[in-house]
Amino acid sequence: MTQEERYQARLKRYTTALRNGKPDMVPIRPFVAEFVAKYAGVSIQAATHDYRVAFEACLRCAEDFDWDAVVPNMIYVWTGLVQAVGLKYYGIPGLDLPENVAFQYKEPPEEYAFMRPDEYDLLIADPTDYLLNVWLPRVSNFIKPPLEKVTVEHNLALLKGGMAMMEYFNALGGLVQELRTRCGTVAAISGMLKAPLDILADKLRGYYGLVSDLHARPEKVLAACEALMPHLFRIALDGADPAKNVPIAFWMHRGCVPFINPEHFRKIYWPTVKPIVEELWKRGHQVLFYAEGNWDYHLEAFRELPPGSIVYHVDKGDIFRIHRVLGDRFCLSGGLPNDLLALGTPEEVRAYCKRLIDGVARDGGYIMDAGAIIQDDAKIENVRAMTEFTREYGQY
Amino acid sequence: MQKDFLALGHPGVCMTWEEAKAYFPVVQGDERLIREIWERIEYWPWLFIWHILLSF
Repeated sequence: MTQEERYQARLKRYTTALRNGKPDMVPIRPFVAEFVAKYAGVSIQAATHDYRVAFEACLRCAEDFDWDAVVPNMIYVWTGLVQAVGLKYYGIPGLDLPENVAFQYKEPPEEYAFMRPDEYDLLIADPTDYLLNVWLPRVSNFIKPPLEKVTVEHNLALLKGGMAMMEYFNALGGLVQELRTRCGTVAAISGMLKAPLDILADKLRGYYGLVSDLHARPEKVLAACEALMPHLFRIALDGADPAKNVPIAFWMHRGCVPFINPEHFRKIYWPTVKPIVEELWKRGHQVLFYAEGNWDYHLEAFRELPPGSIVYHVDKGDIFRIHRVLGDRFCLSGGLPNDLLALGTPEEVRAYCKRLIDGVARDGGYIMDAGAIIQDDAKIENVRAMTEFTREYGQY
Repeated sequence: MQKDFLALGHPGVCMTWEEAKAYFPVVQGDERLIREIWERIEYWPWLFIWHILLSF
């Protein structure tokens, strides 16, 4: 079998399952992150700070494991770019952190949030202008706000940052192609989406600031989320797979109960996410709900979406219950606990994979994966056990 | 009633052509072409700032 034939067979298997159909066997699509560095024998610093090392490690895993699809570089923050722009909110392996610790996000305390509570109107009036002229100078050690004296560091940070981003995105395209030609492996996702409310919590107001605002100024929070929507939609659409084979990844953070209450989900979170997903689906793009943590409280809301419009990825939710509620409408993926990959034995991993296949994959519409991204704590023999068992037992 | 979010704001550019025209009060040739190229290049800083927010 040529690599192209292997690629086509895997693509068919993967996309059949994505559409909630029954392929020839259960597809395997692990979201391998720092695991690739561990497998390739390189430091986390090397893979995070030099994306070429991460790409090569990703390719090596795709060559060695019989996976249908992988994410082209799940070590998604290239810290070389972070350093060039002077971004304050990451701990960089080998610089701020030991060389074998994954990059860390440093959320500031509420009083030092990157966006202040009285700045909602500015954000609402023009989100791009606010980000460029208020937020970026605040999150960068180098970039100055308008009317402040510019510096050499300011000029260089903007130039280097912009050109480095171009370099990185161009290189990602090359990785997608190389996964196909060298490994016969499908790039699992294309494009990205985040919820407006998560954006506010992640990098603007911080989680504590956001929940204060949800009570003190909910109308401003809603208006800010609405103002973010067209931009988040455009970013998702522009990064989507032109062939409409693989889904746009929707990274779900802290928009669920108990991070926010049911009313805030119903009145703010969901009305500013659902229309984006529906519009993407109208244009032929599936969205992969990467439901980090446990979103089981909201399954009925997700059922409102058109059948086939999403793929629902399970982290800590009850995948057997989720299958009962959503399985007639959407493909599911994940559900294999990451702690089992880190602390369990290959026998325990095989037994859990059997439970998953028996419980949710009998009629197709399931893709094998861990619950969360697979980092360097996963044992190689356990990832191998997941792969080999699913291949053996997951035949239809 | 949910607003039509696609009609909000100006995603894809930092500075719209309408704002930019203040710097080029006289266009002697094809304004459509000038606008199209302006917006194509404007896209890059827009993409940059939104991906700094979302991806980096």
